[in-house]
Amino acid sequence: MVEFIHSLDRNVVEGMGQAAVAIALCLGVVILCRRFGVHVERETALSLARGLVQMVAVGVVLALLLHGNLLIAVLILLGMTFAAAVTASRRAPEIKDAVILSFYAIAAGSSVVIATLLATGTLTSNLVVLVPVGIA
Amino acid sequence: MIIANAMNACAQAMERFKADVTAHVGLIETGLALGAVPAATVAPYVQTAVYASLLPRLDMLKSLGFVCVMAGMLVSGASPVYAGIFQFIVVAMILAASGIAGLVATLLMRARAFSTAAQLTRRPGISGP
Repeated sequence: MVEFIHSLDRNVVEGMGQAAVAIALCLGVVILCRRFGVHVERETALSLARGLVQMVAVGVVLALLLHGNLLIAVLILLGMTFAAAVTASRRAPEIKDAVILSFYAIAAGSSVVIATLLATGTLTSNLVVLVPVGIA
Repeated sequence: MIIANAMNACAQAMERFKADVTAHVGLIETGLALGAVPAATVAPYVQTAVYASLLPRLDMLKSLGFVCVMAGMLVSGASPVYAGIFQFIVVAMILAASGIAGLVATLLMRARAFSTAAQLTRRPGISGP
């Protein structure tokens, strides 16, 4: 275990320590809420676990992909646009093809802006710049 | 960011508690007439108000990583894994601040919903002390 921790990037180890403090603070708030009859223990624990696992997974994937070419950047942006479309479409479950509709809308808005930023030189076509700006 | 989300949580909790109390005046006054303490008569509405203020932040935590990442940190050359963990820390702090803000706002609203003689002062058309 000690050898494993030593092998990790120093920032990541510090980050996990900081995340542990943040989680402890959230759990303190949950205990305080429980005192007044507000029961969010299970949902908060699940949300915290999911959030941390997802962010670490995204970080690992980005660390691997950020050395790719422009095609990889386009594929990542398309994937994120689809994820955004799925989230947005949940607001209108009664509409047929809400996901496709949302995808077209988000893709239209994002692509116009990103293309303008690339054309004016505000953004470079470097994957390290394009992907974080596109998905943030 | 943390203050803005705490503000939103405070507003949501206050609005939800006010609406629930106003909509259940009869139930609350029945409880008071039967001898219940004021805090007990509005306990379910305290719970729903705090939960309603926490819900958007819990959903934000669950959807982390699918759409948002700390772009600034990545562009400046930080480790992507650390940037991801830092984003989680920020959202967890937002959850904690929102939870405390929602809970405190609701409890203060509860205290002001009743007079010193345990009478309900918050009802439709009357704002109370």
